Parts: sequence; structure tokens; C-alpha cells
Amino acid sequence: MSGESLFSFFTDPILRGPTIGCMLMSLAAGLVGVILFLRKQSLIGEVLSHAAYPGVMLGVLVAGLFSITENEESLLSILILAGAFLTGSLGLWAIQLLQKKMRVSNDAALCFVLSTFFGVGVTLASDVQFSFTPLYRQVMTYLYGQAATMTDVHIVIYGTLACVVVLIILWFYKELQVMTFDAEYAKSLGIPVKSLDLIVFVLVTLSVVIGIRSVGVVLMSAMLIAPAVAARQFTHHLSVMLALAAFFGMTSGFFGNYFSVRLTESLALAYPATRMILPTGPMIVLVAGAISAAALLCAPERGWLVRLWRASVLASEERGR
Amino acid sequence: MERGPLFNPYHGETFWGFLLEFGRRMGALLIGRLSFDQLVSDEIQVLVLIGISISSSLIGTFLILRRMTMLANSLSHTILIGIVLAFFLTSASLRGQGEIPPMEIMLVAALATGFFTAFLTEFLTKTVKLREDASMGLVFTNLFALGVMLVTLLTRNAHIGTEAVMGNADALHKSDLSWVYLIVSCNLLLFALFFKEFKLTTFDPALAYAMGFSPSLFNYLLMTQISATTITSFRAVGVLLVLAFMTGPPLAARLFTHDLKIMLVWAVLLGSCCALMGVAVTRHILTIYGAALSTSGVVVCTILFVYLSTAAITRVAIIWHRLVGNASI
Amino acid sequence: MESKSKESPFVLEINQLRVNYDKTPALRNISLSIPAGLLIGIIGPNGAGKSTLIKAALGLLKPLSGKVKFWNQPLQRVRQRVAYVPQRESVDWDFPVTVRDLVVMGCYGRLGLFHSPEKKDWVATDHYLHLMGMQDYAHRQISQLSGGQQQRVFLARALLQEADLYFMDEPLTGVDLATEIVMIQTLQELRKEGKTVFIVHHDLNTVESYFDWVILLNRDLIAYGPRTAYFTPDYLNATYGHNDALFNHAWPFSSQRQCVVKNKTAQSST
Repeated sequence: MSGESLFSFFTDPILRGPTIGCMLMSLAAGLVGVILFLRKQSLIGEVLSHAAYPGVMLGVLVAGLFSITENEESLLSILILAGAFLTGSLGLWAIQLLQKKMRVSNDAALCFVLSTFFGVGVTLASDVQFSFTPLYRQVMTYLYGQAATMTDVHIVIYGTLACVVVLIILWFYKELQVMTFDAEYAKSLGIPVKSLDLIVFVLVTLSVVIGIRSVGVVLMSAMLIAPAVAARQFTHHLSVMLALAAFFGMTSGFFGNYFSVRLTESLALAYPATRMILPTGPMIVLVAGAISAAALLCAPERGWLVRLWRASVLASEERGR
Repeated sequence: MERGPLFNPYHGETFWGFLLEFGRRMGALLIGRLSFDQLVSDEIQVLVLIGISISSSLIGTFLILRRMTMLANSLSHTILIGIVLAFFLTSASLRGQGEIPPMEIMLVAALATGFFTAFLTEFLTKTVKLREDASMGLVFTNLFALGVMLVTLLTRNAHIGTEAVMGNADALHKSDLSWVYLIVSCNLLLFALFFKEFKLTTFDPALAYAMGFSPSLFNYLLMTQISATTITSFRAVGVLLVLAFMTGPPLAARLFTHDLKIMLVWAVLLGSCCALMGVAVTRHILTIYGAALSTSGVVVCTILFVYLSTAAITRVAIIWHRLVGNASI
Repeated sequence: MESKSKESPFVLEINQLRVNYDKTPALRNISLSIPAGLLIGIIGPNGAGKSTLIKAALGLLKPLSGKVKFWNQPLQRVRQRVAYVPQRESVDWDFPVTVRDLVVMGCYGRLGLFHSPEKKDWVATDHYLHLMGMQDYAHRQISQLSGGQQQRVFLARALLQEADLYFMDEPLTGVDLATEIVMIQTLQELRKEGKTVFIVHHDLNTVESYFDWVILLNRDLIAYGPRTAYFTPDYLNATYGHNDALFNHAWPFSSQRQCVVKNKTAQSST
């Protein structure tokens, strides 16, 4: 497996599923992440992914009840996705309810829904462990992600999702722009803010729910936050920010796969006795994180180090006078 | 699955039977008829969980009022890096055996990680001027990802397992009990000593600052308490349960009171009830259905149930009040 | 195009509007009718419900009861004829949008879904930016503007909507003198064209020079109508709830100070 070119990541039948799949997933996540970031709701992704977990387990349980095995992957995936979407949406609804009716503050509502839904998921997972043991592997697959076993089917699924997200953003760009900026003003213009809000949340839920297959429940929120953070550093235009977030997302998806494969190979050469496989999910997150860190520090104009340098230049100019 | 004495008095018990037996045995313990060595795993679970719930409910009440709960979520993720650090700090001989590092080292590592997490998040928020929710999100996801990578490299196994999340309540030891209650005492002491400072910095940080108290000092103190509570609970119940105890019982208490002292007391009471009932329910399900569910998972479900019930009861009480009030006019 | 003959003489009619914020009443039983072509100041202390009144009229808040009609029709039918300028603080100024992009938002309602701004919209945008003296800032990100400049950009956006009725929430609060002058002149131009402008205003000193009518609000509607009739110490007393004697004693000094500033040149007064 050594010596592949970058290109082979797109063509090799084993590598292309994870690579292209993760790239498309990060593209969609990055785009919706921009909207969440601008609405100051970046942590919704974290809650959604944890709230989706019991749904994953429900899907697995239903599969177990109908004796569906891992071989019928498409059917299993559909059940899992449906369950995840259901509980994810329920989680979102619960947050709204807690904030509006029960006067709970935003962060407490997020944390409460996150921990309780996840706890329900953990309980269901323990049931899966004993009732339908062969399916228990699904628990790990969705908890920490398992990009390496993604197939061409996943490329299709993620591709469709990415297309839907891109289309919605293109079609409703100006509406999304004004309502994210100032929802009340948008309403005063007659823009159907409530319906578009719903569409946005459906897209976010879909992105998270579909994405947890690749990076897992725990790390999914990173793919919604990091590309948006990085993109903001380089532009004052929303359109450019969206494009950059998509680009950074895809880059993370690609290089996450690339580095995890390469490093696994190097480690195999250095320590041939062990069969260490570096997980892809965390690697994608770390690449995305590195891009954000670089953007936060070094972006022209907004980068922190750049600002420091400019300030010191100004200060020395002042002193020179 | 159970490693207590061969005869487990709770074997085959249902919910009420469990509670009865537990009460009986705890009574015996208190009057000295039963010794600590004779405690079985179920009881240790309950006692440990009650300890965790006391610490968490107390801390959680303040976190909710100070809007710091997501910090607890952040710390629950980054603690993984702390555990990896602890692993490094342990002597090589212990490492080879694949044992978990001693609690003292884990504690130090957890505190260090906690400080590092808070520091990094504050750096991003205050200095780099990134908004708070994004800062937190970036920090804890990347540290966690780093932790997973390091665990893979060290243990040659990417699967840190669900134990990190759920813990292994069935492998509890008496030493866990002592550590948990040590932290409980520390928390109780801190809150008793500095109650008015905590209260002031929670409800009026500006005034506190003007009076010479530092709100951020108490933020860091709380964060230290979170780290200590989380790491001592880690082996028992993973990180999940701590979070649930920190949010559920205090939120439930807040449904019917706004007085800080009453909220604290009720949060502790409700949390402890959930701990006891949760273990009882787990035993019940094991007995009746033969399914060995995760104890921490069931306890979280209990917390959810208690919250929903409290919400329903207070709602009904309000409506009843209104009806009765109207009727008396 | 509605037939003008069917239009009522009132551009805005509010009938028994009640708005609650949580359980407390924010507005209690407001009824008023406003004719066209006026600059109207909405006056009242903090928490009086001034912003609430505007938001309820625009359908941004759900009232407990009451009806609002514009030209004798519900808002949905005539939305394009009503423009809203929100408070400056309500906006996230770090949002990635330039001055020009912000102003062009004014035409989004008119365009409807699936249509992007066309050349004529951009031309109009540049025109109104020029009118507000902000053409040089067209490509700046909005956080790089001063308070007064931000307010002018908001006004340019409202002008782009080319509405007949304008609601403005504290547009003159915390702006520099130059901005205030430009804005008042623009608003007076609007009035000349027969438009109606509602402004939530805080500075009692300038009410006399700026407004034709006033609406005095303190959760209840104290009074509304021509400024000359209703902007008087008695009504202000009722609105602001001041101690009778103290207010009457202070009022003449306040108006005196205004005159003193106007007559002197280099002034070192507070």
C-alpha cells in the first residue's frame, strides 16, 4: 500500500470512500457551520450529535428486533439515520422548550439535553450489548466514527447531502444573509424567517446526523466550528466566507485521511510488530483545528500575531518621532 | 460481572426489595453491625454515586447560575488528555502492566488539564477575540482528538472504549469510595467557608469586584472542583454522569425555588435519590428481564425522569394554585 | 396598486393594543390614529414600551389583543410600503458584511425569493449612500464605522426601501452632530414628499424643533397629537411621573440653557 500518490486517494477503491466521503461531509458541515457561527449557536452541533446518539441506538435495536445483520448495511444505515434524525430533532425541540417555557438559560439547556439524551443512548447501547451483541460494533462506529470502512454508498449519501446544502444556500442566499444578520429586520421585510429557520435546522441536523458516521458523536461539532472560524478570518463577505469554509472543510477531510494513512504506514515500518491504525476522525479534526489556529494567528488583518506585529510597528514609529 | 462476596444480598431483588434491603443494611452499617469490608458492589455503587451526586449537584447549582455549564462539558472532554498525561507521569513499571495510574497522579493531571483548558479558552476569547462558544468548541474538540491519537499511539488500540464515557460501575473498589468522599468533603468545606463569596460573585460579579472579591478567582476555583470531581468519578461512572448530575438536579430544584441555600439542599437531595433509585432500577431490570444495563446510563435516565416529574408537578401546582385562588374570590 | 380612493385618511390605526412581556404588561390599551405626512416623536421614559409599540405594529411581537391597520389594511398587504430602522445595539457589527451590502438589503423584501439584486438596485444603493455622505465607505466592513456612520447606513437602507411609512428606533441617540443634521434634513425631505415617519426619541430638548406630532407613552398612552398641544409640562409630567414641583421648577431652567447655548459662540458649558 505504500507510495500512493495524492491522486490515488480519489481512485483507490478502499481509500476513495473515506476520502471523498469525508470531504463531502466536511463541506456540508462547514457550510452550515458558518450560519451557526454567525448566529452564535456554534455549540448546537455538539448537542445535536449527542442527542442523535440514542437515535442511533434505537435504529440498531429495531434492526436487531427484525434480525437485520451488518451485512444489510444500507438498511441498517437507513434505520440508524432515521433514528438519529428523530432524536436529534427531539433534542433541538427540547432545547427550545426549556429556554422558552422553563426559563432555563441557554448553556444550561444545551448541557442538560446533551447529557441526558446521551445517557439514554448509553443505556440503550448497553442493552444492545447484551440483546444483539453482533450489532454492538455499531456503538463504537458511531461514538468515535469509523471513516475507514466507508464505501461508495457513503460517497453518494454525502454527495447528495452536500448538493442539497449548497443548493439551499445558493437559492436563499440573500434571505439567509439578512435573517442571520438581523432576524427582526428580515421579518419586517416580509421574509419568511420562521420557515427558513426550520430549513436551516433541518440542514444542520442532517449534516450532523449523517456526519457522525465519519468522525463520531464526540468530535462532530468540530467540523461545524473549525472551518467557519478559519473562514471568518480571511474575509468580510459572507459569500466568500461560505466558500472558504467549504474549502477548508474539504481540505481537512482530505488531509485527515491522507495523514492518518501515511502515518499508519510509517508507524508500521518503524514498529512492524504492532498493528497500529491511526483513526481518521480525530486526524480530520486536528487538521481542521490546525487550519483554524493558523487562521486565528496569522490571517492578514485579523490574525492575532499580525495585529500584535502591526501594533508594535506603530509603537516604534511613534517612538521614532 | 459482580465481584463482591459470593453471596450478594441484592441478587434477585426487585426495585422495592432493593430499597428495603439497602435500608436494612445501611442501618446495620450505621450501628456497627455491618463493617465496610462486607459491603457488596451494589452498595458501593450507590454510595459512590451519592457522593458524586452531592459534589456535582453543589457545583452544578453554581455553574447554572453563573452560566458556566458548558465549561463542565468542555472539561469532561479534555480530561482524556489529562488521563494520557497521568499515564505518562506514572512509573514505567506500572505502565507496562496496563494498570490505571494511581489516583493522586490522575488528580494532579486532571487539575493541570483543567487549568490548561480554561486558560486556552480564555486566551482565544479575550486575546484572540474569538467568540466564547466557538473558542470552547475548538479547544475541547481538538484536545479530545489529540487525546484519542495519543491513546492510540500508547495503547496501540484506538478503542478507548465506552468506559471513558460510561465508566465501569461494576468494577468499583472501596478506594474509589474514599476518594469520592474526600472530594465531597473538600467541596462541602469550600462551599461552607466561601458561601457568601460564591453567592456574591454569582449574582453580582460587578459588585463583588468592587468589593475586592475576584469573580474570576471563584470561576477558577469552581473549575478546579469540576476537574477534581470528574476525575475521581471517572473510573466509576465515566464523565457523562457527572455532567448529568451537574445539570439535572439543580435545574429541577430551580423549578420550585429561587433561594440559593434551598436550591443547593434540594439539588443534593434529588441527586442522591436519583443515585439510589437508579441502582435499584438497574438491579430490578437485571432480575426481571435479565438485561444488564449500564448503571450510569440508567441513573441518567432517572435524573431525566426526576426532572420531568418535577416540572410536571410544579406546573400542576401552579395551575391548581390559580384555580384555588380564583375560586376563593 | 391599491386604489387611493379606498384609503383611509390615516396611515396607521392602532386599536386597543395590549402587549405583555412575560407576565408583565409592556403596553396597556393603546389606541391611536395617525394621518399622513408627519414627523412623529415617540416619547417616554425607559421601559415605557416605545420599541415594543413599533415591534408590535410591525408584527414582530405577538400582542395580547388589539388590531393594527395601515391605510385601512392589514400589514401583509402593504408591507412594501413600510420600512423599519432597528436600534443600533440590536445588531452584530462583527457580521461579515460591507456597507454597500448592508444597504442593498433594503430591496430584498421587494425582490422576493429567488431573485437577486439587479443593476438598478445597486445604482439606487450607491445613490442613497451618496445622499448620506457614505459613498467613500461603501466597501468597509460595518464594524469599522463610528456610531453616527452606522446610523446613516441604516437610514440609507431604509430609504432604499422607498416606503411611505418609516419606523425608526432611536436613530438620533448617540450620534454626532453632523450625522444628526444630515438625518433630520433627510427626514424633513421625506415629510415634504408626504411620507410619515415615527421616531423613538430621547432628547427632550430637540423635540420642539424636530417633530410635528408626539406620542407620549408610559405603558399607557398618555397623549398623542400635535406637538404644540401635547408637548407641555403637564403631559410630560404625566409621562415621566416626575415630582410636580421639582419638574416645574427645573423645566424653565432647562429651556433657558438651550437659549444660552444658541446665543453665545465659544461655549464652555457642560
